[in-house]
Amino acid sequence: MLRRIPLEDTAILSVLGLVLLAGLAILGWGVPVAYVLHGWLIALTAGWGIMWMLNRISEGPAGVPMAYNDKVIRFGVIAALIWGIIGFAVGDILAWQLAIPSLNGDMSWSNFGRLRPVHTSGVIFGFGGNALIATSFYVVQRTSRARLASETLPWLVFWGYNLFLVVAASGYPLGITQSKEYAEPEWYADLLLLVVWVGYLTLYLRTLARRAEPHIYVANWYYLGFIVVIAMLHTVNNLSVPVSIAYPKSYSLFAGTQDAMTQWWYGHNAVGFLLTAGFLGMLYYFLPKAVNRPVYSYRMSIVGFWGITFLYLWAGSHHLHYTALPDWVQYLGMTMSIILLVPSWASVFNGILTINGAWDKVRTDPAVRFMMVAILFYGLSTFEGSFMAIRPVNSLSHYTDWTVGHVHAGALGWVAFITFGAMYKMVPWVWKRDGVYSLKLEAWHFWLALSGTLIYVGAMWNSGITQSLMWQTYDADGAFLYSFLDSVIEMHPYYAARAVGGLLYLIGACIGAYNIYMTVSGPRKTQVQQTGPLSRQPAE
Amino acid sequence: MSTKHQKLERHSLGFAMAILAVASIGGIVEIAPLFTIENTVEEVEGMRPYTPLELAGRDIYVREGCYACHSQMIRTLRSDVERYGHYSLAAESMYDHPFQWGSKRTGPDLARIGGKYSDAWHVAHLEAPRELVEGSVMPGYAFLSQTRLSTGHLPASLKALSRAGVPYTDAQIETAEKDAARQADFEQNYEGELQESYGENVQVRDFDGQPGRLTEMDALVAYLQMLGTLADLDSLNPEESYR
Amino acid sequence: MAVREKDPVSGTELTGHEWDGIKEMDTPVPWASRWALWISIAVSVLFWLLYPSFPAVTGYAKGLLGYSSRAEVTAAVAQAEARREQAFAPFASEDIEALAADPSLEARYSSAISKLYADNCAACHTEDLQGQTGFPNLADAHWLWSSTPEEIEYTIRYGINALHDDTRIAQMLAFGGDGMIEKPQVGQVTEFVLSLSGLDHNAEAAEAGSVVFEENCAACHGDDGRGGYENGAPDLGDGQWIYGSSREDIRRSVYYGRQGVMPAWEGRLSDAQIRMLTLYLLWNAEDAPS
Repeated sequence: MLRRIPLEDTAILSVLGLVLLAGLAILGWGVPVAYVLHGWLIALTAGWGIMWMLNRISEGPAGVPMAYNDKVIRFGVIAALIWGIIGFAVGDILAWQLAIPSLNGDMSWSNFGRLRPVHTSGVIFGFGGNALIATSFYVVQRTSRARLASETLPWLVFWGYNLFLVVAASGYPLGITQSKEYAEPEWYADLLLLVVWVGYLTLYLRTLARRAEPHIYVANWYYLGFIVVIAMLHTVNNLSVPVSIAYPKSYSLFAGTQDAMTQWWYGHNAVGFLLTAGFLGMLYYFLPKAVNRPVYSYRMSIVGFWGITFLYLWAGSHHLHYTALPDWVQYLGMTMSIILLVPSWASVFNGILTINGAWDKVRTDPAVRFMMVAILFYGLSTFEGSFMAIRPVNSLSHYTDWTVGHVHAGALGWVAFITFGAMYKMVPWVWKRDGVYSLKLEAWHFWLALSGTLIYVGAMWNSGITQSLMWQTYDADGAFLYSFLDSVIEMHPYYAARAVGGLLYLIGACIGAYNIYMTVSGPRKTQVQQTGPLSRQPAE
Repeated sequence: MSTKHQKLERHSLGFAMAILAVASIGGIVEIAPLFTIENTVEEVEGMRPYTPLELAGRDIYVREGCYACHSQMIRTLRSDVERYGHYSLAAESMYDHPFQWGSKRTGPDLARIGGKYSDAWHVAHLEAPRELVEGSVMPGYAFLSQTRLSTGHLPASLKALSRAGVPYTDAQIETAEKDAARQADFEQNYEGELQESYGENVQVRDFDGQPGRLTEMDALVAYLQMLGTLADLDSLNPEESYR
Repeated sequence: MAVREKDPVSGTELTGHEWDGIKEMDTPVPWASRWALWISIAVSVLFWLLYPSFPAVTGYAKGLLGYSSRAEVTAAVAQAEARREQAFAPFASEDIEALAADPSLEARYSSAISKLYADNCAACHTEDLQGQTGFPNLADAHWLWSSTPEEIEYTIRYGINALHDDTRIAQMLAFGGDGMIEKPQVGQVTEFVLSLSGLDHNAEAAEAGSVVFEENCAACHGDDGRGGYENGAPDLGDGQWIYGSSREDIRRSVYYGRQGVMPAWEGRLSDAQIRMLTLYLLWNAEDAPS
């Protein structure tokens, strides 16, 4: 007689079955080769997932260990590092293409336009996303004193998410994109991510629900904010009408002005909730742990969190100043962006002041140094962001490299620094090692990354402002002083400098990956530390 | 404040709902009225859905990621208007699913590029931009001239767009594949038919300089030569468009 | 209420919660933060009152200033235009001959016009006016439609084979492709054209080609092949080649024909700007009148 299959397993199996059918439909009906390959990839992965599930079910219920589930976190760390290095490397290739344009190769797949989303998706979703999934699994378990609420869902989330990334990143060079920045993947990849995300949210809420602590810790507010808001943004911004099952192509449901506003509502909040909220979650756990100090102010945490959650969503229209978007939306976006600085800096001060009493660690522990500098860059780029949202400033900065510099101050200086800081702490913990393989290499990574970031951002400030002034400078008679081409030619030294900065950053990341690899392949911890009481039932 | 908040902190689902509620306000206030406030999209003559060939060209523009370096948005700034022409209207991208306003000008704005240069220049420039314009950093797209334009999906594309609100007629959807080839016909035999179907401002000729071959270059150049030429800006009442 | 634990370093009370060893201090929100929040909100409220801001279903708050970006840029451009009209006053005159004869204009305006040229013309004709394959050299002494200022101005304004109703038409037919002449004749006439500017050619074939030329080409290019301003047919003996001077290039022209396009600039450029560019070409041409 058949044993009763748990509801969760039934649900996961049906979802995997649907994904398998979708993959089969794509590979069966698909016309473009790249799309058919994606069909195979999706079908094979779903099929493999089904086999794995059936195997588990047939083996009968295994005892769930009374310990944290760290295995999937290790996979997440490795995936983040691999995607990070791919993303940084492609980014630097793009930088060199702008400095030496013949490096484009003038082939379809190798040109700047097709490679750019490989870089942006690689770093934002590949590196950042995997780092967030891994650290959120770590943090939610520790701060809830509960094991992840499911034995299968974490794997579905991890593999599903990375399948989405492979489908996305392999599609761009082959011309599969819907052109909405940071939301380039086409409809079938979007649906896949939606499925994964529902799983992620369910898992996160269920784990929180079984926590042994009465209160939910700040880090989890942010991780939860990240998961919930990204779900909303992703769904609305990717509403589209597919051409047919035979083609990867779709047309967005909204057009023109409405589409532009929706896209930058999404785009700005991908920054706000993926690259900010998620990583603030990381900060709120790993920084106090690393410096062994209490969080400076619980009240500031509240102000910061709800301020960001409310205000960020209004700020997207500052990407569209002076465009065909009506003025009223522009002014709302501008003013909300200015107010947004206050909760942003509340988080900055909350972070910096948490280090009070442990400043010696900034000197002795490169991981803490990574985190401290991350907060400074977060402060710098949020100030810069609010500043650039002011319309007259934006008339100078928009469409120029200044924006690119701004984004990278945030991405290189804040997102990646806090991630590396957290990883240098978390890797020895989840692999049960005594510590990082080499503090010296860690310091090398820090200094290479910092100098790379400063060169990059400095070059882009210069090029952006030069560009902008050249576009807007008139002679005494009111005629343009420079042609557009003059401004392109003037960019060359800055583009070369930027590419060098990016290279330093990439070298640093490779050293970091090597250091982590050596840590992992080193000897296990001699003494296993008690992780504290673990409860699988909520305390209340 | 903190005591109330401490209550909220005890409910994971409630906390998630609170986040969703607080976070959705901005989008609702800023996006929803764009569909209901009437002068958001101005009234101007000449706007029409893209012809199948232009649409195919637009799909190529999207596929190649042109928007990563070129904007299609002349802002309400003197230096934009004086370099690129009349500020862009919302109406001019009313059939753009998705919009192509861009976010970066590594190259110049293209909102009114249509008619500025000859087809031959566009072809030569797309094939080898850095040979034609000294100092350019643009990649070359010679492969477009060698790639036959696939048109099989065009009826489905028009159909999908009509589902998204673009007023394509059933006849236009049905003849989409033929219309694409006819617009690039060297003999210009179908100019009258296409103009009757889509509008007076349809440009019909062999765009890529390869008579008898329908290539991706034909489509992309047809799209570029159309950009900014549709809206009849004289028909705009400027005061009514101030918003 | 129980006495709460304090942080030993700062002496601040802790909230009493602990997660995996992480505690929180109950530090009040600093006054600077509160003030920053209230000030930024106040500034925003001021903006909402003065400028367009909150929407309703069919309208939005217009703001006390009645501001519109579009009105602002329209005014700014008009003001700049007025200033330019003054600064470039000479070019308001429609008497292009007189302008061309005025030697003082070049020194005063050449640099400003060079940027206008660079943004609009250089993409085809290159920044130094030398042109490139398919796009004529503007700096040499050779003109397709005469070197008089009015004719140059006309070309810029209406273009060649452009979409404008008054555009110049210059169509070299596809003599080979359309079967107007036989394939061997294409070769012969090619040799003849090569001979016109003293390029290496096969004399025998050129001899035969001269007959083909007389029957098919002379109507536009003239009996001697020296071209004509009436139809924009280039001089074939001046050593200047728009589409290249190799045997293969010329053969291609004869076989497939040529219909070079110069866009019409009316509408995109103002009348004064068109006159400026006309003069700019004259100033930079080798046979400049001044």
